Amino acid sequence: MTRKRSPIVPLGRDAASRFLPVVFGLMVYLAGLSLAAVLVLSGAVEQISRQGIDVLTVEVPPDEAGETAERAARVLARLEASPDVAAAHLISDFEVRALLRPWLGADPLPDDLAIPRLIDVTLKPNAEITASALAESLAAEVPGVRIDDPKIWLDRLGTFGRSLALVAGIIAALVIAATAVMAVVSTRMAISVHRDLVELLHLMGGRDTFVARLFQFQAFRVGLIGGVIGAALAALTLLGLEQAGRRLDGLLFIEAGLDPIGFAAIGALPILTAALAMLTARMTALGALRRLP
Amino acid sequence: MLFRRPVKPPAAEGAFIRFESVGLRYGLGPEVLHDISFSLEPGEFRYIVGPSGAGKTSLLRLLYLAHRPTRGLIGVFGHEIATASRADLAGLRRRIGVVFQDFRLLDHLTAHENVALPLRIAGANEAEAREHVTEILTWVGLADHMHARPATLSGGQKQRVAIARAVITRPDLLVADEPTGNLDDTLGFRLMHLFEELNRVGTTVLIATHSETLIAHNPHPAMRLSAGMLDVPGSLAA
Repeated sequence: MTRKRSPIVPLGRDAASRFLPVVFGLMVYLAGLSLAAVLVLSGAVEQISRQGIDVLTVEVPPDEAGETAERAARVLARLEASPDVAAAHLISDFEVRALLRPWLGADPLPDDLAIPRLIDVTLKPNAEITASALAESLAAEVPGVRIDDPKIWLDRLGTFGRSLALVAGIIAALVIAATAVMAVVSTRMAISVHRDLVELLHLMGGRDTFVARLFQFQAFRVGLIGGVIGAALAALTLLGLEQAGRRLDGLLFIEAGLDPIGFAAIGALPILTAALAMLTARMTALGALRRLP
Repeated sequence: MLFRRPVKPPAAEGAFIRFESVGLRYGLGPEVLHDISFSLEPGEFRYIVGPSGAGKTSLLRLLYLAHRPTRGLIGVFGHEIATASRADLAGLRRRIGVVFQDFRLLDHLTAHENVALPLRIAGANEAEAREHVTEILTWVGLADHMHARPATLSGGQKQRVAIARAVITRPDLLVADEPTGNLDDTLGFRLMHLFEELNRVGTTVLIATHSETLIAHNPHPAMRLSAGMLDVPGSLAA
């Protein structure tokens, strides 16, 4: 029977090496969540930017005399005549008061309280007019008319989403950098622990690349094991979050989930981590070996 | 016969081993070797003798390329060490077998794996290597300890494993630091016979020892090292 050859450098046997896959796993877990955050937020921002602005609310405040009905009727007529407007609906006084109830209470409102009239406007698909142009045109006819433009709010939301995605990207980059630093430290530690052995291999004529290979393969193995653990945990966490998100169905106006490509990216993390750890360990080992005569 | 391969001829541009006015100091400490000059030709067998602390191990470390000299020139197999590339140095080291005074066996490897290590480094065929290692371990009397780890071997057994490892690649130069120090005379003489057989097929052998008995039993020319100065007999001078 052929005996299995022992590894030249017993890298997996010291205490530090046994914990390394766990630490790599945690790093990959954090990287996976950060990456998922980047993908989800980027997708959400894109959805927001694509969101059609086809519903506007026109606000007709009372004039100095407190008159609103005639002003609202003029605005409504102007809107209905516009080629870009599909529908315009004057919200009744009753509906407006119902909208104000959560803020002003259920008591009857005083008669002298100036309450603006609201008109819901639905623009035609591919309408060329912008909210601000429509507001200008209406204000020219009925002074004081304003339009509540949701695009402004959506733009701000998009900017906020992009900022969050950037922060998540920075966190992912930092975690990847920390993983590389960890590979450097662990390789240096391993070389330090096995310094006599490394020198012996060097004196026996082992080329730097031969000796470095012993450390880089160990780094690859540890990176892969840790990567698989971390990526699996990250995928489970994301699936759990997705399940929780489904309960909010209808409350969100965008689809905020990780698509199959996102999950594939998480799945690629173990290989990327192992490759990063291997490359870093190789460079570190070669650097350390160059200090030998 | 254990050693069959003829030794590679040295490169044409210089002596086999050549030291010229070599000095060595560790860091900023005092010089431990002063103006060492000598040469070795292919097939020579020589001793370096001297008391403890004379600098024998330091001289050997220069020979097996573990250090670079602080001053002077060293030529190995016709290559100037000062100008040799890292890849060249690795190639030169493979042609040198070393028996370390403290054996330097790897505790996690068996005797067989320890001896096979230089062959693994050289990328030798595994099946051939296994056969050759078994042959040489049998020759040094360790046939029953092939799969023992160093921790379970006696000092003498470890030394024999170290010697087997040094000669497994049939090196062009064998450097041994007190190679029979832990062995009884009978075994010591037997291993000296191994060195002499290796030397007969062309390997240059240099042994550092303080055993006059060994030298008397296996007489070969000796260079004397004392307080970092090497006394080379006139007939051996470079």
